[in-house]
Amino acid sequence: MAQPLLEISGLRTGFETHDGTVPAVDGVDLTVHAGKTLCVVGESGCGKSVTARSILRLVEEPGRIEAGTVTWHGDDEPFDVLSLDHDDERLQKLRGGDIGMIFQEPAASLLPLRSIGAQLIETIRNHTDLDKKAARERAIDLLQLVGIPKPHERVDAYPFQLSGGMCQRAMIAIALCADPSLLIADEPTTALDVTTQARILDLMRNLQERHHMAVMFITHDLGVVAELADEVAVMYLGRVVERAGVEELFADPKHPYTRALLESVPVLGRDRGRDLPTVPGTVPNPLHRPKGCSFHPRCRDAIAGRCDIDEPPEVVFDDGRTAECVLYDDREGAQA
Amino acid sequence: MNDTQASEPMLEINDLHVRFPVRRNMFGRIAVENHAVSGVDLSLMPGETLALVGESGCGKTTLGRTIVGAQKATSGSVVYGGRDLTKLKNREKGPYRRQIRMVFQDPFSSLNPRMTLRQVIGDPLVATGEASGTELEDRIAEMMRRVGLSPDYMDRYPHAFSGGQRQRVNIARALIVEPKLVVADEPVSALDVSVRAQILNLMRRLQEEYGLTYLFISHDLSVVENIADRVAVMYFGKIVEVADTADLYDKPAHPYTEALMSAAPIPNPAQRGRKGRILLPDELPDPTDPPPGCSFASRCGYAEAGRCDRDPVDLVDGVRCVRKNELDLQGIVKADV
Repeated sequence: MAQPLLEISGLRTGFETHDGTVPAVDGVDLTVHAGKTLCVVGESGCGKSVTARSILRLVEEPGRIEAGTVTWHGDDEPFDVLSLDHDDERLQKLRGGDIGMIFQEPAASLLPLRSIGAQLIETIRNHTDLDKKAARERAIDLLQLVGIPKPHERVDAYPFQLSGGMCQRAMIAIALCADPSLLIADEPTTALDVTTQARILDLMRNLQERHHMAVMFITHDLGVVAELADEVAVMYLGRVVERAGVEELFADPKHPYTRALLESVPVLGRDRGRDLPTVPGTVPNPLHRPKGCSFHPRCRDAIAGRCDIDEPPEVVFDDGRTAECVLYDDREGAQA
Repeated sequence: MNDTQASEPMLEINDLHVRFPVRRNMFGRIAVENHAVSGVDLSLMPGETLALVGESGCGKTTLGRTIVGAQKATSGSVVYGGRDLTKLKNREKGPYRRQIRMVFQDPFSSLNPRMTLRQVIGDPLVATGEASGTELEDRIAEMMRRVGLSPDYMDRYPHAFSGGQRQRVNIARALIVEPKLVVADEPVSALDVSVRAQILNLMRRLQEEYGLTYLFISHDLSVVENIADRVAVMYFGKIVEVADTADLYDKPAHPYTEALMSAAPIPNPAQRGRKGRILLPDELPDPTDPPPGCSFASRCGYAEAGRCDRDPVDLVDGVRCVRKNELDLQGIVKADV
């Protein structure tokens, strides 16, 4: 097993609203291993994006990180990101340095009034001691690396002059400025067309291999997970309900939610014209989280008197995968 | 004509063009135009689901909006029930607005937040004065049951409902006047993955119950494969291929269709990297000045310079490609799950 690079433990992030605190992330444990891709998959409101943003402490008001640790193992001395002061230089070094981040809407995350090159050069100079000219050279190299044609010209282009796919490449270039050991990508292909998505995924795979970079990839698309992940964490209503290697997860999903999700998504060549199995009901409002296991009202295997009362145990299987579900409690091959 | 009624198309689109002015010159004349739809021929058979697929900006939404009369056509015709819908006068549009309805993508912005479900769903009946009082109430309740909503919610506002439930409201509103044709523009794209299947199954059931014809606009190939009988692939304002779903997915005849199929992610990690994925270059033609030949030629791996980019090409036997008889294209890689 590869070395842990980032360890999230007991993370809780809540949002203050008129109706009370919404526990968007409600006790999440995750580990990203060096050089590996962890896909965090879940539906809207499951807390996957807030988890990603909490790592770099980019959660905006009224959100607040309430508990937990985020341990960074990238340096000689591991440290907890959440306990650093805001002006600690280790935090500045992480953001855009050791950890690069890309977001869903590339056009919205780039500054509209500054050229791609200016934004690249600024990040490069923040994290290296290159002078302006050398930084510009490096910016052009990076644009070339992410597959932007004519990088010498495009370096002076403004975001509105580039297509969505090109903007996302520029975002990736910015995230790669300081040779990060971890790239956090929050739904980076969701707003893109399928042919553009294929190219961006291909690019990310190549970059990862070449730079031996770890990737934390947030998505709702199981097809993308299958294409990219080494490990997968499935989130539902602020909790990780299942964690497994990608092949194990698709071949043998343990948690009823994962199983239902995999069945209900139409698969090319398999589901022509047939009724699809459905997950009953809808994702509940996180303010009114069901008691006990939060999936039990939609679960086919829910046990009355148990799932609706007790929090489900986290069951660890022999191969290290986990599922938060009573079904596997006290079963063979599992130790609760 | 009478004995072939079943195989008569219910809607025929002929050489339809829709252009948007981009810039005007100093005299107010249109100087630059965007050809959103540029010469579409397409027919819809009664009772079928025809999917319209393509990437953002290809003109699929504009085409859908033109069919329901929400967008004016620049030229060409949309023939329904013997009438060209693009030439109707405003006072003639009434009956067609009932027979052709639209369901929109975003269930959050497409419902008026100040109207209760009773008002939203019943509005088309109230507006035409077709029903009132208990009859109106009964029809709304019946429609709500049909789409899987409890009539107890009739006096609630949309904000109380999830995306999937709101899309049910949108469908109820479209179907309450018993239309013949429903144009559904990305009806499940904004929904959570676990809710999509519910809406797809619902649409399939309602189609049977009401004998509906669907034009299903989507960019999601696996959703389209699940729901459609036939598929039309749109690229740059034109239909480049139209075929039965199975044929199109298993044996695409246009290089763009092949590229689309190849780009779709397969939800099976065991098959990762097993297929040679076609990676299209980004060089899109300028929509204000489309090339004379095939608009896909600049990105097509099979294009022959001096031929594909120059010669205009028509949709022949459902394929718009000069090289269609010379190519052997790959369909989807089936997931063995």
